Amino acid sequence: MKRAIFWTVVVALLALLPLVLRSYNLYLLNLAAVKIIAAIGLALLTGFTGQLSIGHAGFLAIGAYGTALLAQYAGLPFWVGIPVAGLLSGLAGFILLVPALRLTAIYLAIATLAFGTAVVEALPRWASVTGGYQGMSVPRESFLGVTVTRNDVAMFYLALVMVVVLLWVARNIVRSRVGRAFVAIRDKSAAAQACGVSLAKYKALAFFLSALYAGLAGGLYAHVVGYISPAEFGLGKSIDLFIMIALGGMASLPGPVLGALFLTYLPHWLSGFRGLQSIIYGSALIGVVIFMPFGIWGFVRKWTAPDKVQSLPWPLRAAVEFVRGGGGR
Amino acid sequence: MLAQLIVSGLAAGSLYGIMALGLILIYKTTHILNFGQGDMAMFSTFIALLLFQSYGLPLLAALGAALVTGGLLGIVVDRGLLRWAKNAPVTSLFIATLGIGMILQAIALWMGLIDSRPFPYVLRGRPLFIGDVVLRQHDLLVFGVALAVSLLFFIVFKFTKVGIAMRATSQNKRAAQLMGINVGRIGTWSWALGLGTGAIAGCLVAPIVFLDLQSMIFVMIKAIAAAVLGGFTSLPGAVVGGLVLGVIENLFSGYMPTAIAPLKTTFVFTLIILVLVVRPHGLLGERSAGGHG
Amino acid sequence: MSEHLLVASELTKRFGGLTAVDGVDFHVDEGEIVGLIGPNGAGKTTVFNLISRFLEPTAGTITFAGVNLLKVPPHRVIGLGIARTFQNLGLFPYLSVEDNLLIGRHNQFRGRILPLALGLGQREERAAASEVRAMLEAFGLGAVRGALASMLPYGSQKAVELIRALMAGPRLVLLDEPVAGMNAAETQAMGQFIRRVRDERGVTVLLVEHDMSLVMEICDRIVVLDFGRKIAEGTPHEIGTNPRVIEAYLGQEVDRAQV
Repeated sequence: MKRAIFWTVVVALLALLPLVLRSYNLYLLNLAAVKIIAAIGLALLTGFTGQLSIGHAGFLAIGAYGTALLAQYAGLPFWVGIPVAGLLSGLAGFILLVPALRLTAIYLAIATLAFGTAVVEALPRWASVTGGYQGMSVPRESFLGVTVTRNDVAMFYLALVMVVVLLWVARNIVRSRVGRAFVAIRDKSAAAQACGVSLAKYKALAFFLSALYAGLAGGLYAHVVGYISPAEFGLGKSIDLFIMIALGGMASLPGPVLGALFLTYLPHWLSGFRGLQSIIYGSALIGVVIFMPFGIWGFVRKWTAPDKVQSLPWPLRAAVEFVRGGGGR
Repeated sequence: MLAQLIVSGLAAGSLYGIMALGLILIYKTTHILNFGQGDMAMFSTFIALLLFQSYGLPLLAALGAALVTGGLLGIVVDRGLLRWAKNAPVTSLFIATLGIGMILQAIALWMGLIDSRPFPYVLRGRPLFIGDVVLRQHDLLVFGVALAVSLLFFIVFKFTKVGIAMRATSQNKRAAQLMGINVGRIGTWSWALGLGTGAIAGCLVAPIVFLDLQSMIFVMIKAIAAAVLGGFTSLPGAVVGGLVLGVIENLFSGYMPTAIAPLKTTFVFTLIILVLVVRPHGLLGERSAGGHG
Repeated sequence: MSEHLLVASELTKRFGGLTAVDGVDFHVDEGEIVGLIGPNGAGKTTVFNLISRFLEPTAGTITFAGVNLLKVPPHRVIGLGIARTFQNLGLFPYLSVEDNLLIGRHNQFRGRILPLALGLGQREERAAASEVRAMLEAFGLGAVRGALASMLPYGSQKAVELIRALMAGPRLVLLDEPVAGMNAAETQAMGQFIRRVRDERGVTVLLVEHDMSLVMEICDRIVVLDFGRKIAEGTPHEIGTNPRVIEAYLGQEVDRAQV
């Protein structure tokens, strides 16, 4: 109960942000929300279920283009278009199931890479509909009389709702028998089967959920930026997503959130250091790997372990213990 | 037409193969997929270009310098950085290699690699005509180097102490350690050799595609695909995988209508997946190679 | 025939040119503790993997409680009433002991994915958790419930894995080297533990083990394999005096000495 109140207060405070932040900052937060949702999806697949994917931007593309095309040609409003496109992306996730049932580690990674490449190469082929390499603009939409597409405040609330709901759903899944089955498959698939876990069923579920999250993130992205092109969903994006979960700590839910925020704001802050940004960014990646081998969240968990917390001064200790209560696996 | 497509496919495939050899060597002994291989090759190649153009070094000396740069880079990467990340899971180390790649890109940019830069051919004489097949001298060089590098790898692995130790390490790290092999030093050797090989690939690719910050990344992706096709832990597999990949790719873009031809990467990757679904460990891979344990 | 719980007949498994299991017949009756022994490479673990359906036999049949096991995929085996442990531990190292045991009763969960995603699985989850707690208390391991499985001492991990196998309420458990790597005291405790499982819960046990003292002490019946073939079967006393068995084990000692 106490925790429910705590999180309600957090969300309420976040909902007040448009009162104090300028539009550009809200825009950045919206982009962060896109990354958070996609990263949670990838964490479910790679972090929890152990299935490597370096082609996830392909699902983002399906979600983004799906949303835009549904709005353009079927006239579907965003609150139908985004979920439908997300679902389409989720179904596309099953494409990777066949390789996932046969392949491990690096071989599966190549299959996902192939999928990501295929999506990006295929989109411009259909130029009359998708606008080819130039991309397409997302039709402007209104909701209750307010233009929402590319409206940073409206998008902020949509993003907030989506992040809260999807994080909550992910948490429920991770803490249920499904989440345990995911981890079991990741760590010892034979033992998992002996316990009654069907590899085909749960891998399928993991791919579906993961692609669904990425698709929803893509749909949100389409309306946040208002203009999409194939190049935005290339290998670099997929790798960025992977970096997010690895930096944040991939077998957790706070991890991908932290990683997504990190990858949104670090390049932004670094844009002041002309020429040095890649060096700082690269060094940051190396530094995190060296000093936080299990990601930022792994690092936080290590330093807030019960025995470490005992030696902290009182106010800090109380705060840590409160937040620890159930911060996720 | 067919013969021409196959020959130029083999030339491209040889380049993928050389690049893949370096990647696999590193992967075999350290279990790290070096996603910075493209950037590292770019950097070594750029050093050669710089020495040749700005400092007037003879071309061959400059190319030698690229090789040395690759080797040194390998030592620095392994000793200077990865050595400190002993506790990290291999998936994170893969990210560290990306970070190194970014830093190298930044340094190259800072040293003046801003636009695409032409890179000199070593052999630029008249092309050979065999029947109706045109063979550039550079292609001959590529074939020769690919053959030489493969032979060198074969000899090193079969007959030298370091090579045998590398094989032992890749098969069983613990057992190798118990037999008195300095696994750490073997890792450094692999990095040095692997990046040296990358530099060779870079210097052979650069004349064809020009040199810019990104040009090696595409080669690396193809090399990874080739390596996977060959069965990621097999050195001969890398070469075979590269050649097969190059030929198929060329035949596809040669024979498909223009509307579909740009999908060649998709086609090649789909084909690789199909091969893997039938043979989960690639054409020449070992059964135990998939996971890490 | 039908009164046996598990029946393997003419069971054969070849890997390429190697015949790991060669025409083996054996059965296990309800309530028995049966030992499957033999020198290294005799094919014991292969037999387990055939029963668990991780491997497809080259020839032969396995039936369990009248059901043809060969028609069942690996993850359905536990649903029929066969649970197992693994030679090098099948615990999930990054999950707590409690979560490990919850996976052990994965099959009993009825909640569907959509309600679960909406947080509606709480009651079932709580009921399962209290079941786990009761089970751990019953075997005196209540204190380690929240610990990460990989943090427990080796002997306790083996015990937890056996308890996990019991969570599904099996009729038969397959134990692959339950005391491998244990000292004498731990072995003794595990032996009593296995007995308790059979006596108190009526669970039938089929175990592979190298530790002869344990096998001789707790098994009702022993099946001996050598080079994939069954060379003997009988009570511990019969097996202990069977010249073929002694020869098989001696042969192995000689081999070892030469290596």
